[in-house]
This record gives sequence, C-alpha cells and structure tokens, in this order.
Amino acid sequence: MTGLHRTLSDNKVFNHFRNLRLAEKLFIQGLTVVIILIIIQAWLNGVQQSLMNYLPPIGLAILLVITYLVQPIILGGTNIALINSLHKTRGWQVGIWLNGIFLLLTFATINLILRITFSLSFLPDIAIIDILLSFPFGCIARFSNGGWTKPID
Amino acid sequence: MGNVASSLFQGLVRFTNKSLVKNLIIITLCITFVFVQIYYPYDYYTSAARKSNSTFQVGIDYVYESDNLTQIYGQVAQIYSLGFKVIRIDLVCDPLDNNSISNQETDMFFNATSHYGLAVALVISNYEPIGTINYYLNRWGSNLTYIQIMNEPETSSGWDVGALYTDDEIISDFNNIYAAVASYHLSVQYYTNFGIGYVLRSNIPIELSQKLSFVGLDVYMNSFLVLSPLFIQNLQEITHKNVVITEFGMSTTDSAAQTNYIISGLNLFKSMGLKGCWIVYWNSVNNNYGIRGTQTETAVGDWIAQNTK
Repeated sequence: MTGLHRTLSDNKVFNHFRNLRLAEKLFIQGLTVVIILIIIQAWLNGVQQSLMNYLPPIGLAILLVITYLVQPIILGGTNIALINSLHKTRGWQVGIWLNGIFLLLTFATINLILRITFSLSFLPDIAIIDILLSFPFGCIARFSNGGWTKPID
Repeated sequence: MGNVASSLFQGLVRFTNKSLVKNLIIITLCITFVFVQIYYPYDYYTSAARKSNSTFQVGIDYVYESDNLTQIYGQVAQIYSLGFKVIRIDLVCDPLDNNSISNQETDMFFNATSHYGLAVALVISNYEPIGTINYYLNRWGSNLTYIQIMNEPETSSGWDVGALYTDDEIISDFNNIYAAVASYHLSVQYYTNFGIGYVLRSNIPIELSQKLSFVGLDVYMNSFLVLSPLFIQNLQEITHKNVVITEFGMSTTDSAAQTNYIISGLNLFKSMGLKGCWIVYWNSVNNNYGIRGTQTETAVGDWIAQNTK
C-alpha cells in the first residue's frame, strides 16, 4: 500500500463517502463532474472572444487545445479519481482522455438538444437542468470507466 | 423469471466491465454523439415549421448591368411580383461620365425599386476605389437600405490568387470604406458577409462586426446547408449580431435540384427564426445560378406567397 493510498484509507471523509449507498455515490460523482463541466463551459464562453482575438490564429489554437485536450484530461482524471476513491479501486479501464472526451461529448450533446429544442440559454437554464441530471450523469460517468479491485501490478 | 432477468443483467454487467468492451462502447458512443451534433440541428429545424409566425424577408441578387437598359424596369417589376422584398446589387457606375450607359442602367434600376418600394442592398467590393464609392453614394445613396462593406473579406486575396489578405489589410480596408460610407450619414444598415471559411479566421467577423448592424453568412452546397445551423449559431455567439443569409444558391442546369435546394434552405432558415435569406442570382452571368425563367422562379414565388407576410 502506497503512502497516498494509506492516507486516503485513513481519511475519515473518504471512509464516510465509501460507506454511502450506491445511489448516493453516483449522485456525488455526477454532481462533481457536472459542476466541473459547467464551470469550464461558462469560463470558455466568457473568454472565447478574447482568445480568438489573441494573436490570431494562436488564440484559436489555444481555445481548441483547452476545449478538446485539457478539458477532457481534467474530466477523465477527476472521474477515475472519484471512482477509485468512492469504490476503493485502483487503475482505470478506459484511458483518461477518452473517458474525458466521452463525458464532454455526452454533456455537449445533451446541451445542444436542450438549446435547439427548447431555445434555452446555457446560463442559467441549461446549467440548472444539467445539475438536476446529476444522478443519471453519475451513472454514465461510473459506467464510462472503472478501476480494479485486485492489485494491477 | 426474475432470476433469469437478474442473471442476464449480471452477465451484461460482467461483459461490459471488460476493459476492451468498455473502450469499444465508449468509442462507439463518442462517434454517435459527434454525428448527433452534426445532424440534429438541421433535422430538428427541417422536420417542421418551428417559427411559422416570424416575419421572413426573401431577397435576390440581380446583376442588372448584364441586362439591356430597356429590360431593367420590367425585371424589377417581375421580382416584385414574386414577393421579393430586397434586391442585392453590385456597385455599378462610371464616375467619369454622368450619362454613361452604366449610370443610365443604375438610374433605371433605382427608378423601378423606388416605384415598387423594394429595399436595395448595395455590395461594395473589397477593391472598390473610394472615389467611385463617393460618386455612387452622392448620386444614389438615398435609395439604399443596406450597405455591404466588403465581400467575404476572410478569403479575399491581395496581389495574386491565393495570396490572402492579412488581418491588418482586411481591417484597414474595411475601416477606409466604412469611414467613406459613414460620412454620408445615410439611414442604412451596414453589414459584411462571410463565407464558411470564417471559422478559420474567426477574429475577422468579431473585429468587423463592432461597426455593423448585422452579419451575413453565405451558404453554398448541400453539405454546408446541413451544417449551416451550427455556423449560424456560432457566428451569432461570437459577433453578438443577428445573422442574415446574404448569398444562397446553386449553380446547376438541373432545375429540379436547384429548386429542391433553395426551397429546403428557405424552410430551414425561416424555421430557425432568421430575419431573411437572399438568393443568388436572379439572372445567370457566366454561371448557372440564375433562377429567372426556370421552375425555381415559380417555386420560390409560391413559397414566398405561402410563407411570408
């Protein structure tokens, strides 16, 4: 057992989360991922114009890198960290970036359908609906990756 | 029965929990979501008339300088009778001879549009000399409703084909033309149109739109018609301006294909709640865009009668 694992195992907060029911764990996982997605999306909407105007086309390239490389890595990393923490597993079944881009595409597709179908704006309408969808999103996030209960090396 | 369902579910969970299977499922879903993002907006808006009460302005691009002087008045009357509300024209004049044929044609054109109460959108091309613009606006400026400053500037080339203008050149040329036009204090709306290529130079519409009343988007080819809801929404987001489809047409000798393309586009843009769509062209000049005298002309006239106020 590494120092980090021992620290997490001894942590009262993590132990409390691990003792929650599965539905509660899924809700916490979904809520965390959705909040991260909303924050990043709102921030990107805010800086989109400034980035596109920054030393064109360098700004556009930076925007694309943040959207499709950095954001999925943050999401995928957070998701597997949550899975390992809440379900006491190790490692991952799906790559961090792939897992992140899947979560991002799921979120973006749901938002696109909401925006087109109901003519809603992202803030606050769609963001509130996304938060209300935390539990199903948690199920999707849990399904999209998983760790191992046995030692992986 | 319950046990069978439970064991089936357990088996499914065990199967999908294998790393390889899970990766394949995730990749398949990602590809599916990409397709949904591409096709859903177009399918949604074309599946039914979503905003049937919205006012929608259909316009057309008329190259009147290619017609005879005596034809122009009648052609404008025909355009009016079909229900078009806007005619988009190029800047055609001869500043050196007040009575030149091109000036007579322009006089004739504005006589007709004034008589029928049609709005006119003037296209000032990227290379138009300021002296010519001044002459034109002095003489016919009061007849205009819209002025287009530059044409698809993001793809305009400088000294040779493929030598794209730099951002600085586009912005300085735009500012020069804008300053010349604005000095006349005309009661017109300014716009600039962009092709699909604007996505690679998004800073251009962001920069230019600050001085514009709305922005135009030019849509050609079926593929870009399908993708147009995404481009329109993006252009609205980055410029914070309304989008009008300022060029929309198909160059083909297949009148049925042209009719189908234009009618499906009109349905889409109206359903999206856009202010208008301007078709290119009324008459063909070295191409097959023109709808005059074809079944497309009749179909568009019928569409306007049924769908606009």
